Amino acid sequence: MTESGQRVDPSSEQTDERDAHEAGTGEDTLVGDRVNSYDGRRFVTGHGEYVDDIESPDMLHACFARSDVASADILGVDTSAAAAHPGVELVWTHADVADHVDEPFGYMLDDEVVLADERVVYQGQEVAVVLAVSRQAAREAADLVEVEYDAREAVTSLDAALAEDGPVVHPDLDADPETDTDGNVAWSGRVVAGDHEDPLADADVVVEGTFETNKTTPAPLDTHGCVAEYNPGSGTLELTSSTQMPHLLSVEIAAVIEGLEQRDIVCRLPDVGGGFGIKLDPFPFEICAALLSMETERPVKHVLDRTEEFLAGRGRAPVRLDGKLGVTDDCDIVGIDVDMAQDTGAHAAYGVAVGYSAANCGQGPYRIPNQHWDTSVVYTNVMPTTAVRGFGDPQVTFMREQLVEMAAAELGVDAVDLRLQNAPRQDDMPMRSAAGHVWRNSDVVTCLERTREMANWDDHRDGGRTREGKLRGVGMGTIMKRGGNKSASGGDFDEAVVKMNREGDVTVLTAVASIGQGTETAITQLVADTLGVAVDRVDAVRGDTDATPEGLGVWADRGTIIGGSAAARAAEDLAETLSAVAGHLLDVDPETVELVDGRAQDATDPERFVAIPELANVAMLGNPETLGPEDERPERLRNGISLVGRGKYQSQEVEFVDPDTGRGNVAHSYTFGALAVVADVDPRTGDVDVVDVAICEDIGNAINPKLVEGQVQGAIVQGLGEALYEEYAYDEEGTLLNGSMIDYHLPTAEDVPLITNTDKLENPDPTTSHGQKGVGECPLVPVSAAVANAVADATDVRFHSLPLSPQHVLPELVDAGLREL
Amino acid sequence: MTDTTEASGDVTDTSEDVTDATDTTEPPQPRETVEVSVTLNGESVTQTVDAGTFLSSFLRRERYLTGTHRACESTTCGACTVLVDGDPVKSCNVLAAQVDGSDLTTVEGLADDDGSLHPVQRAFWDTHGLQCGFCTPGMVLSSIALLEETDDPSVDEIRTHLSGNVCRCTGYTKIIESVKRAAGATDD
Repeated sequence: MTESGQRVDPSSEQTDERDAHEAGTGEDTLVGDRVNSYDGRRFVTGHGEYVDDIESPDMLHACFARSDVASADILGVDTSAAAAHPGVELVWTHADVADHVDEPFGYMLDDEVVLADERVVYQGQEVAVVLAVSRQAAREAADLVEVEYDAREAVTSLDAALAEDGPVVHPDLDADPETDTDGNVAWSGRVVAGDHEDPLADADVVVEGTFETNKTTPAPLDTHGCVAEYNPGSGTLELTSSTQMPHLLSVEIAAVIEGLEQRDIVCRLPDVGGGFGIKLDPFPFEICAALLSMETERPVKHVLDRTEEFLAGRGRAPVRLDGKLGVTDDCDIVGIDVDMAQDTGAHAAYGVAVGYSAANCGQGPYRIPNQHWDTSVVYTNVMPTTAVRGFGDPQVTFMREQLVEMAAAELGVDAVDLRLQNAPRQDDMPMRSAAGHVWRNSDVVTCLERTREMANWDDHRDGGRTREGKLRGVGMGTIMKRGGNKSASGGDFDEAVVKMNREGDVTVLTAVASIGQGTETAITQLVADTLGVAVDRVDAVRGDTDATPEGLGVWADRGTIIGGSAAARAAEDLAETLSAVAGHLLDVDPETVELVDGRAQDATDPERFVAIPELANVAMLGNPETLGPEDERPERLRNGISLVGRGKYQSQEVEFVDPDTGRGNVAHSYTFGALAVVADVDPRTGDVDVVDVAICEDIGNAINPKLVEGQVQGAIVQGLGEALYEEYAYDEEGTLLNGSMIDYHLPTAEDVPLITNTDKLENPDPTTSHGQKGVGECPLVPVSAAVANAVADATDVRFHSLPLSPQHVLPELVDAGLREL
Repeated sequence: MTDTTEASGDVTDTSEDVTDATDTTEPPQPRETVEVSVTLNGESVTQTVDAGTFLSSFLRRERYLTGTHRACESTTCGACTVLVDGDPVKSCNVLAAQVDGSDLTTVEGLADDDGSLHPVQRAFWDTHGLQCGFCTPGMVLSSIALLEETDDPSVDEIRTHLSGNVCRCTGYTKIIESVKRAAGATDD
């Protein structure tokens, strides 16, 4: 461990890396190496602990009775049969919880109740909760809850929601002068820049279209769930929940449950089997589990099943965009004018942020001087939507990138050339975009050029036929994705603690959650690199409000940017102490001590060193026999030598968007990139087969290229599922028609190509600890746009709605006379 | 093995397992409980369970083997895949009674006693064929079954074989590369 080794060459990783990792020789310690996933060994051996794996002998199990109908007044709820069911402890309706909660509640707008009161507003809404000795007994009893409904007309489309004198989803909110709700419009806003009253005035060519995106679920395999355990002695509630934001969850739950302060709630993380955005809101299952545990003084588990997940687990909002893009004859994009309506479903959840963020970032990676965006977030009687990977960017990108390729066609120029001409130059950075973003250091020009080359754009462009007779085309989409945000949380910050024991083992305490994205692995690398120890000597404690300092969780690609930078600072703090001790022992200036390969060594004479474990032991014991009398030591080595490092990262760059103009630097940093899709369209069946995907992003310095690749590949395939297969289908009454994994097809290994045509640029962000930028959400953003552009290139048919599944594609091919039998 | 086919949940051939087969003159009587004897990860296990206990519940609740995950409970996602006499079976729709007499392998039974990983586990970890880990046990077991049949499967064979196992994180590329790598390692 104290011997220095050769740094493993990332390009020749495999065998070396495996041996190194297995042997714990610590050669894979450095930032930029292809280190194995921190949790991977537990996961491949089946020793993860997800929320449903948690059991205790006295545990009770909760299950909701959910509404069968989308819109109705509740005339009565009969719980007698459910309460009499064997194994049932109690059955609660709204009346039982009303005195214990502050309703209505909600993340951004107060429009939710824990259990339905006088009315239900979507199919699947929680009406009653059953607590029983087993999950099966609770499920059976929930089915025995009898609800008498008086049906109301359901609002199931944007048109119906926005119609004059139509039914209103939340009449109480509409009538309440304290809320912004107007009819079914929960919130509206705008983004304006330049000549926003006539943003297309300078245009020679204007292209326009109405685009509609689909409602989807990211469907993490691990469903929502929690275990709540109230301790009546201390008055504290321990909530272990499958969430992305433990600290914020304690804030949110405290705001709802009467009598509990944030300090009374300990939020902890189990292993979380995927989140993708839909594990950010405070949910009724968490609130009910907490209340039930407080009532029974026993641990309560409440895990949703897949049917509940489809009905009520939340997903991506469908958006209708009426857009116009204006371009001059010289190919300058001069203006964009967009009216967008976001169908948020029965509750807003993160919908307001999704709406304003989509409009604020809607210009994408282009200089567009004149902009006008009107956004409304609209209630309907279907499952609420919320944050989902990409936030609102995939929807608005579906429109913008099609308009760009339509404009290129109108002008008779290549669509990549048009993009290149209007992309910001790295030389001009740092700069402000028209909508207020601060773009510090990105090379989108090279991203575009590389992607064109990787996709063989020039060969595929303008369509062709494959040997099987399919129509082949290529299309592009672009990325300008925000990383971090503070409008919803009041600031963007994370704290971290890095501590070392007397044997030189390191533990980092971070508020980030692990939902599979791998931030913890990156953090262990940053810490190991700073302290000069092997990565496998660093452990991570994550997202525990009792143990870890405060932070905001994982969303908006903020984990490695904000949480990673905080952890790196904490490690630097500890490194200064170690250097001071080593300098004292070696009798050199601490400034010349370097921590590398498990040693603290004199940089001018590396043969003079102290092994880190020995150094840690000496520092931890702090004896005068080894360190000399205290008054003869350097200041830092007196009054106790703490091997605890502290660090905090608070974004000073991100701004609140201006409520009037919608402008502002909405994020800490931005990730730029381009993605191209080669797609084959079968003129007999309408099947769209994506045969190649090429992507080049400027992600700043990659902390772990292997995990970056995984995020890129996973995001692209999630995007392909949404582009090609997935959509929530409701009937006119608001009843979900495809609420199972059989009827709602998620992409399988057979459906998608290998994603290996990936490249990245590493222009560092100057503000983060190691130059990192956001990664995980970005590659999903341009996928549906690129697929639609590729299909348009192949067929000359412009598709305005998603998904591009055969039942939607084939009729258009028929209309265009392209159908072949 | 019993006639337990992937995704079928078919119980027709197992009536003898859950009824008293010694007296053929009386119609079979339903039982509340059933005794299940299996070889589970190399150890003989005999246990009396409720007759309606699914194999996934038997493993998770009775044997505390929570590496067998459940995500759809409709045989769609494959997170609950285990090996029954070497064949990959989705344990969420198979009764424990149906596998009486079988040799079961779950993800917990793959690593050696000294903790060294099965080559397929090793390959998934090294290749990053996993992210959140929820689908991973099923993917690993399904891949092991494929490699038992085919030493060096093609990419398309792997894609087809794994099409009953859903992963929401990786996009499958690194999973497929993991299987290829494990095939190479097995060759060694």
